[in-house]
Amino acid sequence: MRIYNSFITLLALAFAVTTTVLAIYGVDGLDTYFTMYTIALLVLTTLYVTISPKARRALSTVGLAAFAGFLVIVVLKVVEILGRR
Amino acid sequence: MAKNPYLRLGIILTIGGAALAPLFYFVLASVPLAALALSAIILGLVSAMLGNARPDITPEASQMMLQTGIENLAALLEELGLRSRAIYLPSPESGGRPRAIIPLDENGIVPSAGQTLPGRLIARYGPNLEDIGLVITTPGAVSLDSVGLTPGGGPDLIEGTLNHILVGIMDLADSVSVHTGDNSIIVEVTKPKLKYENIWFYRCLGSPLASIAATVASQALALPVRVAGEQETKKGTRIEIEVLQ
Repeated sequence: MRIYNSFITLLALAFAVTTTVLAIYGVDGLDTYFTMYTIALLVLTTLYVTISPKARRALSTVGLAAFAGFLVIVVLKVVEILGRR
Repeated sequence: MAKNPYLRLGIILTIGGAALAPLFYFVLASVPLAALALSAIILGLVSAMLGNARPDITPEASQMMLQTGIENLAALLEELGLRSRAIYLPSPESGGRPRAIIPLDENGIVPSAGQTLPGRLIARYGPNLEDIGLVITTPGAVSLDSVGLTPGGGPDLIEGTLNHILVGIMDLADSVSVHTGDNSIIVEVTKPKLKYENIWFYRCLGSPLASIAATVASQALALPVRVAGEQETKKGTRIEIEVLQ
């Protein structure tokens, strides 16, 4: 399953690059890292148009879970901003 | 421990990431390291989900079934003495799968695209006595079930559909590129897992890869096509498909 191997390798590479770049810039919010990982996952899933429908459904489930996490972060940030006022 | 390597990798990464993330965040107070552990959890989940999406039938079982089908059909072709190249036809307007006909005489008339062939193994397709042939379902016809390529969708769809089938679903090649000419289509398959063999079956129908390519081309163009030739190149295999108009 060469297509699965290349997907996992590229995703690991994207995560490693994201972590390194954000760490160099001194980002210390875990939510920022998580948001970037979610974006990387969703972009890569979209780019792999040739992946089988079954695998696409499986990846969409993980993507949906990550997106739900991202929405929780957004809600928490909004609550935090509103709480300051 | 699971036998599936993707599932095994997924479990290790998820458990490892979940155990290390709180340690890095609360004990070492390092956000980048905690983020790395978080990325391991996501990667683990992706790997585990991909592991579950693997086909239920093992490649060995699929290969055995393909080989059995090829040998049975080859025996039938040999017994009937059919040496002509198969003509791949698009699916009929009334519905059903696209099929291929191996004519008795290669230089005879070509069945028209809209012609409905009877659902029999041996069928007559023209007015002459020699316009008779063996009507068979090809591997490409079955693989189109999960793609939904409408007849006459256009030549632009050939490359995308072939990549979807051969790379995404069947994992038989690294990539596929298509060059369309006036009466021919060149299909370049990079790093194919199935090679051309000089056997009776392949001489009639082409290799399984060529057969799939011809079926897709016929369906996309809504025209009968024939495998004109196959060549091994540095990158992989070059398949030439002749469009019969």
